[in-house]
Amino acid sequence: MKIKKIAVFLILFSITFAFSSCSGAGKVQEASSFAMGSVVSVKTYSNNSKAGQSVCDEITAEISRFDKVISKNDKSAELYSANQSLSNGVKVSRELFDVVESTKELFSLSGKKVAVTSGALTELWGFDTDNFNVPSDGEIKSAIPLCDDSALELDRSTLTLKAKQGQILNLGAVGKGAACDKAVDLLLSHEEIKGAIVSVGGSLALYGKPSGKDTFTIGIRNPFGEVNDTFATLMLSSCFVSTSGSYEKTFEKDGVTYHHLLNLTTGKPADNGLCSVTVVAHSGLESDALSTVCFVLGEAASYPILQKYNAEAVFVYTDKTVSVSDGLQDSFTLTDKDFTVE
Amino acid sequence: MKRKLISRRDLILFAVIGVLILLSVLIPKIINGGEKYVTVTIDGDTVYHDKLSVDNEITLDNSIKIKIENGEAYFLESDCKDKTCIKSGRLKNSGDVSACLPNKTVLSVKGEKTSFDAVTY
Repeated sequence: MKIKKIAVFLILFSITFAFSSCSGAGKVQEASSFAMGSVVSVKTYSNNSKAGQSVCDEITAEISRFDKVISKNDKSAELYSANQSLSNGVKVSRELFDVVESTKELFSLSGKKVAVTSGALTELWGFDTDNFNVPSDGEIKSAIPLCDDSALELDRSTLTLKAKQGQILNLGAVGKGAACDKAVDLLLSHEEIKGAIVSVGGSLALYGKPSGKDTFTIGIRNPFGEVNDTFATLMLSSCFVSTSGSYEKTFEKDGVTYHHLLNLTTGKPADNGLCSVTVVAHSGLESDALSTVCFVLGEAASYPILQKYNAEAVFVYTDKTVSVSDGLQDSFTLTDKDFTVE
Repeated sequence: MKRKLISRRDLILFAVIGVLILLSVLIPKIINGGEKYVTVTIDGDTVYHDKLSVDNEITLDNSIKIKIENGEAYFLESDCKDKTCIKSGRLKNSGDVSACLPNKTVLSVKGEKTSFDAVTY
């Protein structure tokens, strides 16, 4: 009798196991493309690999489409043409208007250190055109007043944008995150997708659940290492994550390295002893915008703004000390012993 | 003597078969678990896919050369201006990715086991 029971148990166990390992907890589909001057990669978790693949492809296409709305340098993009007649007032799509409005609102908390109208200075330095150049103090001085959002008028009733002569809108600090929002809008209309990870140049949308787990494990790039080095992990459920680092878009001139995260009140790269800030937020636009704002403002001035957006952050300093906001204490794990957490 | 539909011997046989099924599913999984693959894509289309353990030097149509040796894959040559792809170093861990943006080429290493689901940078 006993042997029988064991035998039956073994048979049932084996059959169940064999089946469960075939159907699995979900199928993973991936796609990648180029948009916003970076690599876009999409991973979906579903029970239907065909549906998963088609959603991956839909998302990469959607992000390429959105790039044509918010790109400042692509001559066929909506923002490019809007910039040409900004001083006369220009009617734009609701989609572009919404992004400009939300970004202006968030940046208004930065005390003019970060702005939507940053184009005059970013072009002077060549950070968004890859024609790097260290401008003279005189050039910087005359460009600073042009990077002031208080002169940017937004009229929602007519969807019109208007700014001073010489002002240039630049959505580079929010574009990748805003693209993650577009991806999630699309995912929400596909019930069959149980989870997804969208990366637009390192800005992430974490959606639903990955197969077989409740949370996503996210590595944070080591600012001192090579592209694939990480120094810590975050265990996160559905949210948006962006990182601003002084290692991205840099150039060297006469022994000095310049990075792209400008403080618009000095017209020069921000210097708060930080080398990267990672922000976890409730929208992609917010995580991307906040990571820039936090980097430029420094840690102490960042907390009230993070609080307002119910966001969390990891600050990494050039001396390899790390500061983690309260809400991330439990999900943060240091993996590189060269760093110390304060 | 009363004849049973399923005898004790039958049950043992079933159990043995069951265990064999279980092993046949598990063993390949365990063996393949450590295998990593190199993938090269140009503008989203896969142009190379093979085991990381297979040494190779690949010359792509867009002038890029990729080298795979001793369990590491890296950009060897590119005609791009910034050479970010070459400076990005050697890929060896599952989940590692580097790209040549001007040539729309992505080099990645993937395997069953990954330390992360994604990396923020």
